[in-house]
Amino acid sequence: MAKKQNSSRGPGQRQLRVGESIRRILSEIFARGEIHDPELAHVSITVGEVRMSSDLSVATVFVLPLGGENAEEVSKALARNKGELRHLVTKELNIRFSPDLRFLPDLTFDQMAETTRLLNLDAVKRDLAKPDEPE
Amino acid sequence: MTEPRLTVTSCETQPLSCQIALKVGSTFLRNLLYVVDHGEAFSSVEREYPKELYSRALTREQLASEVSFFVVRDPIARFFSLYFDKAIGDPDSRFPWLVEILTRHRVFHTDAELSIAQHRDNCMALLGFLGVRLRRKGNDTINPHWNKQFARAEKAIKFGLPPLMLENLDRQIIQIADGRIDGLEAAISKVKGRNRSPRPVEVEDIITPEIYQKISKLYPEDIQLYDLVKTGWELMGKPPEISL
Repeated sequence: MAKKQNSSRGPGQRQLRVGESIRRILSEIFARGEIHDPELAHVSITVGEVRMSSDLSVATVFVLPLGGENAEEVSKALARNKGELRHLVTKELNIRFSPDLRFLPDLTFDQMAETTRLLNLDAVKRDLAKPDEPE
Repeated sequence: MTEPRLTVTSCETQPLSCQIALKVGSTFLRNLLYVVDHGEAFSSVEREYPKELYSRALTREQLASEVSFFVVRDPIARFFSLYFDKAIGDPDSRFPWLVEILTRHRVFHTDAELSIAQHRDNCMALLGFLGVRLRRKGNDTINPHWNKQFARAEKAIKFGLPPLMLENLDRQIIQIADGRIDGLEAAISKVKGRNRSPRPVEVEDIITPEIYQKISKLYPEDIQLYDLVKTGWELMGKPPEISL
């Protein structure tokens, strides 16, 4: 029942919190150049948003190479490396489950910018920093 | 075949070069280069930058042998700097022709004291104007006070220049210079705090989701570039490698 109410209202706090953590971890992995795929070697990638499914088993990751070109190819290259990425994310995330990562080109710059703005608000930062409530 | 070159602004006496862009710390940088060369701040009208700085076209190899860099600024902060300085700034700094266009064609208030709602109207008017200009012209012909940072940065990235952030520019220049520029810290102290436009209100009081979305729609690549550079610096404490 609660889940139904949640899905009609949009993502819950925990979905948002886990999604943002994954977004940050992936951004850091890309910034450090930890994925050794020739197609990704010379591309700077931003992660606009990570949307979690309601059971947190699937993370849809919206990515975009700098300048916006070849977004489809980059998404496909990331999908090829999702096993390694999933391993790195799970290690950093410190949670009991390991979400499946699905990469899509981020075609909504607006959404990325707005999400970033919201996540940078002090009140949201404080909220995101809180530990997860017990399941 | 001629080797490709990037035009940068340089010191005359020391190996310090940077790509300068308006509303991205340009006055600070020009003054800094001048002080490094001359030991003293430029003495003319405070806001006027020295013209006698070197403009040089350097190869990738030459740039790599110097302390060279480019700067990125949060596009939101850059827009508000433009608004406060060129749209509602004091008569010495604002563009009268811009104010005239905005007043004639859009809802733009010019009262001596503006309310928050009036500032918001003004920002939307300015953004509307910028939207038209950015759509109609190629980036090279757009006024450099509001052209896209990405177009300039793209060239710098191709020449291997490291990106610095305007917010922490003084500390980051010192870090990448790594002792190679004599008197750099003293020079930075001398020029710090210059060119701070007075602001009647805080950005946080004016900005709305609508204004934010409009800026990010006009400057999507700049938002993306800034995000990459900021993440890189925060994560590794050094200039990130940006690829195109």
